[in-house]
Amino acid sequence: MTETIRPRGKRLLGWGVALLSIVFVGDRVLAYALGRLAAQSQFRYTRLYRPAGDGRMLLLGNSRGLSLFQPSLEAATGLSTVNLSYNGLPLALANVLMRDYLDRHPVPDLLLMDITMLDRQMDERLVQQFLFLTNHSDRLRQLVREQNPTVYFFSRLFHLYRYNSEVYYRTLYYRHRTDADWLLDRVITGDQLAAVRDAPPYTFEYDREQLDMLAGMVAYAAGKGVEVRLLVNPYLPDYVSRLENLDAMVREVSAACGIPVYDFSSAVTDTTGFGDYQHLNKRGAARYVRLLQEKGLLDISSATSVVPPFF
Amino acid sequence: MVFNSLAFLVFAVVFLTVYFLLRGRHRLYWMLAGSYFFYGWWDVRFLGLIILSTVVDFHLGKTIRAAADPTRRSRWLWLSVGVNLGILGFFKYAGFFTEGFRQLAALFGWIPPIPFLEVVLPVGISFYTFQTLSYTIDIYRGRMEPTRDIWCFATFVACWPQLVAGPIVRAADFLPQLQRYLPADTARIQSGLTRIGWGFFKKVAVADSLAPFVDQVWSAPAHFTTLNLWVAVLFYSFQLYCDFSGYSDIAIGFARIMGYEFPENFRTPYFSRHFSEFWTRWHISLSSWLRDYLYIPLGGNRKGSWCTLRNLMLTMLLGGLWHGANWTFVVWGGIHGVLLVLQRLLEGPFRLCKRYVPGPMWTGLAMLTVFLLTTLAWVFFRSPDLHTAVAILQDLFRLDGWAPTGLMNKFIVARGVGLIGSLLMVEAAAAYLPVGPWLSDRPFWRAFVVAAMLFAILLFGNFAADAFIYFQF
Repeated sequence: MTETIRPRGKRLLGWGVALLSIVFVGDRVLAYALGRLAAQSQFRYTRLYRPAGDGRMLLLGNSRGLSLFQPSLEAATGLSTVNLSYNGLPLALANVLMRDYLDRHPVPDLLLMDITMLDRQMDERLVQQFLFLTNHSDRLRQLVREQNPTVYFFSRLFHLYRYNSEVYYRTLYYRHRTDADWLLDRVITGDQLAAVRDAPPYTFEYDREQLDMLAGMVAYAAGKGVEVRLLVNPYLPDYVSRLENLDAMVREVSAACGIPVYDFSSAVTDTTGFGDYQHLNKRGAARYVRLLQEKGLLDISSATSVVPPFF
Repeated sequence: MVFNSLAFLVFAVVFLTVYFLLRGRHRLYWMLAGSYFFYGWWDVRFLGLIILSTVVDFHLGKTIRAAADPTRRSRWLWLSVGVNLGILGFFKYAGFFTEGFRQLAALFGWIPPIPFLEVVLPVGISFYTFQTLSYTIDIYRGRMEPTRDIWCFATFVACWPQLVAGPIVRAADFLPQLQRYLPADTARIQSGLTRIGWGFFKKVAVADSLAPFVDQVWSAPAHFTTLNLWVAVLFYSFQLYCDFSGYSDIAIGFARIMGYEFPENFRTPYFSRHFSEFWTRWHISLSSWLRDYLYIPLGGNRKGSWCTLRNLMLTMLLGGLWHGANWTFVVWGGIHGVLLVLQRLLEGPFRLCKRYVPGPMWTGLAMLTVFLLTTLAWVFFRSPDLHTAVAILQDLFRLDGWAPTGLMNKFIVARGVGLIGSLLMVEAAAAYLPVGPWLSDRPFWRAFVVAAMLFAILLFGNFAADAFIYFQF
């Protein structure tokens, strides 16, 4: 009996060792190949971590930050722009990305930030989408480790796991093309407009910690000599009435950061300028950029305090 | 405890290590203890129900066999059916039927003094109830002898790999397996691991990757364009298949490692060419259970065509209701009943058409038709109520909203399409080529296959997903 079990056990052990070897060697080799594939991408976050793509104007926000449409802004101001906005970008991650950018690139003249990323309902797990960049940033690595030690552990154990992300897919997609025109083309439909009128009220969730983090970001950028403009990018006018505490949030952010917040939430009234209830399309974005320019918010070297708050 | 959790990973490693260190009956006791621990992890209170069901059916099995008088045997059987269906009925359908009764009474202006019932549904109750029912019915029919070993019977009822979502195993097949104690076998462990890897790929990489898109669309269908709705409906078809068949693959894989063979529960159902074939490929252990314990006792196809059609409809309606206490499931079962009935009624015209259409084209068209109609029926299965289901079905046939620019998150859609494509290619290869036997002679290549599945899970898996869909049934 023992004679038959031993060879069987040895065979199983041998197979197990072979399997583990294939898994760990394969994991490292494939992850290395995927990393190389992304290295020369034109996507914003790959450019952030290599010496390229410096902009005189830095843009930051969640998906609504994409309303700060780079081609329109560059045409209007003649300044190069870098947009670090991403769908559902939580403030903690925006903080890391902004600081990393300011530390690694020539300091931009202007930073435009959409403050709605303050909302706690932005999914903090989004940071896991950036795992493949953790080798380039101590701050990012630290943030992942603090937010989810299990994910951090597995990303160290299996390197391939770091590439399991929509951000990485986008990195591949933008390998040979620019991401500057990343914005909706579509126009909101009649049914969607009707549905917005029945939408439930929405309350931004934020706390002192979030306000302090945003204030810290403003102070960090200002300390580097960047002019910071805090904005609320446009919503569909019908939806603005559903936002229960937008005014209070604007006031509190302004008080916490010590600079005005420019509320453009109701500034674009033409519904054909929207892709959905909270995102401008390209047409609406062009209109919005003109508004920003008319209000002098794209002018460099004008002190923020001389531009009066409006809307 | 769910398979896609860290707790389960620890459980599986500890359980299997101890399992192979033990010999003889100790393995059976360990299996039972592990199964109760596995189930109790979710809610220890409901272990009482499994134990009750086990004790009642164990004793009734022996009593039915011992009763000489057919009337007494029949009474004991009805007691078993009553206890099992009573437990199932109370926990699963009490709220549904009292609410239905209340609404019916309200039509006649009477408000019955019945309290609102909100009963927590014990996980897996529909599965183990059907297993224990088949045991007593088979004894009653003289198809098997009752077991005298309560530990063995208790393990059959609670066996952890298939306890909460099947496959539904029959006592006649599984009890003899529980009484043999096989040593660890390299080939079996390799084959089991491959099956587990494939199951996890289906669940974590495919089903859970498709789920966020589907959930988002179903949460507010009115906000989405026709194209998005079609993508969501098609994705749901594959999400459900991969979620459920993935669970079955994992269950079969773990059982195989331990030396047990569970019945196959899915055989590439979306390659079916007609609806009766679909039901021999989808949730096979349930459809064969319904065939053997409902359709055939009702008369099957032995009492003329009218009775056959009636039996088909009844079986499918009850099969639908088995899935949950909601009219959406009844309608879903009804749709499949109607499709089976229509298929029978139109058998002649179909045969005539088939003569004039080239074979491969006919097969392709038939597969596409079965898949599309099955997919549309899933709309009822997924929707929380009939109103939502009908609204989605109406919107699916709107003429506007087809512009690709309106497609929500192209990256997620592209990934979903790629994963579904890979799944279908592998399934077609496994179904039509001798991949299994080829791999069984080449352990080194099998290691590559297992590693490739792990890589695919790491690259495409959604590790933040919830439990398996069929847990709710």
